[in-house]
Amino acid sequence: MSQSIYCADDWLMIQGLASDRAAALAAAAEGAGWDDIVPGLDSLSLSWNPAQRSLEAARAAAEALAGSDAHAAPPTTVAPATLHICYEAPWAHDADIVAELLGLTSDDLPGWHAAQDWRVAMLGFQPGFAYLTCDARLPDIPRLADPRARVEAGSVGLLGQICGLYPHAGPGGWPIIGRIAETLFDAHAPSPALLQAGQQVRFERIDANELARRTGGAA
Amino acid sequence: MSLTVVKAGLQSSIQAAPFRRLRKLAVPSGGAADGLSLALANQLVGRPLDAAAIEIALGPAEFRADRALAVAVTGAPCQVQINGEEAEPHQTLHLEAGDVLAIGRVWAGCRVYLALSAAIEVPEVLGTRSTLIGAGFGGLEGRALADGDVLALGEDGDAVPALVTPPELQPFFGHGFVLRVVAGPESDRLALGMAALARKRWRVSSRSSRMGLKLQGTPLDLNSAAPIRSGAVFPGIIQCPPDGLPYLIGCEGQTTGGYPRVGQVIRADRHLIGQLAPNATMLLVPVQPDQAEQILHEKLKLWAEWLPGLALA
Repeated sequence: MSQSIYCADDWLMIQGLASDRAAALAAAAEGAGWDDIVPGLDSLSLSWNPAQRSLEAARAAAEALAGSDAHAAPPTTVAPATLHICYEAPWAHDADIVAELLGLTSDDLPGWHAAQDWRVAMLGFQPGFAYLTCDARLPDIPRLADPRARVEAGSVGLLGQICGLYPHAGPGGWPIIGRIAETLFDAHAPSPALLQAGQQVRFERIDANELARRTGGAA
Repeated sequence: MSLTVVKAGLQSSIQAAPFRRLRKLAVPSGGAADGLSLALANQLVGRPLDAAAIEIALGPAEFRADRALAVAVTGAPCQVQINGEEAEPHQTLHLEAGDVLAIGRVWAGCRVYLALSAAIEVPEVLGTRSTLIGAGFGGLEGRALADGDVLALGEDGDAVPALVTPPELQPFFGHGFVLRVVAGPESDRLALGMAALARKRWRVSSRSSRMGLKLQGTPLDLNSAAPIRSGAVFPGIIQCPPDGLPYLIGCEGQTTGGYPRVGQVIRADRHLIGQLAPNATMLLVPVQPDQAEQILHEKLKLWAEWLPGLALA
């Protein structure tokens, strides 16, 4: 990919990055005077306060960052996360459709999903919502024609080439294949988001009873 | 030691400084939709410029002081009354225990700010007392104010002197706005370039909130309406969905998106987005990023003496 820099008046974006490179550059940009550091699927955006940094200085800093050899490997300082996932009814609403698109049987979908090496490419959409990517080539899984009025917190969806984790209950258009036990976002916790860009994620299978036990809900 | 919300109106909420440096966790900036009007209100009651105040969308709304208190009203022009007597915006007002302050429906603009001489005692969440209404945290229980809410207040500082915002520094809000914009990352999708944004008068639709504003007008022609790979969006970004009608990201807008970003309201003018009500019209005037930087410095200089340390975020 060829990278280029887009520049507005208080943020800029390094474009054309592989997502692991975006995460590595995001880690390298920490502590360097940027306001917000926002990885995208193929970009990294950096904002600044013009009262403290000039446009020219910001652009020069970004060019230096983009040209640096912060390695493509994700930052190793973040421990991989293990998420406990239930692929059973009633949490796997769309497993049949997704399995068919992937050329799998519904029974094989959980094993396939849990076996992939997932990595957090970015957070977006709503606080703590994680976009995970893997190396497998996925078919372009479409959005539900009729979005669900309510998707439970912890729901796991597959859309496009992305596995998405819903932190909060609410309406949702992603095909859902399961639900995790972990809380992804808690504004009142010292570290509000469970996951961050660049982090590796492993899924560990649990059954519906175990999910209920861990979430304190009914099976 | 409290303020009672007698009538909350359409949407009133506690707003202060934005949430900072949390967009990588997909936490929107939020805070006062019009940070300049918030600062002007707080200045009149001797509070820090980004202290928590009450943001009132469109009005009317009504509040009762349960103790003596200084207050100030800024932002969108509206009728202000204390116990039914006319009072003025942009000056320090003194309320006695039991006094009722009524904010009328706005005549123009969108949001009114009510600042208090005592701190509104809601917990600080992630560094601010602002309410993220969409995400449901911060402020008072993460929600807009409701009739009958009682806001606990802290101690007053020293006696608050009576101040008036210098008339030349009182912003004027009408029904038409001029917002300056820079080209967005995908502005090359505009078949006629940035001129396409500038040549039209855009009208704010009723689909508008702190999260964003859908604009109405002649749809934009795009070379391609294909989605982009999800990436950062910021307040002021103008997205162009496939219908060709721009969507202007508000202070509480989500942090990433997949629609082409064709332009962005410059930082110096973003506080005005908070004053765009449904049916307001706007002209978008393209400028270069370095001009936008200069405009911000000039705007901050204009306010520096009255509002020392003002940051337009």
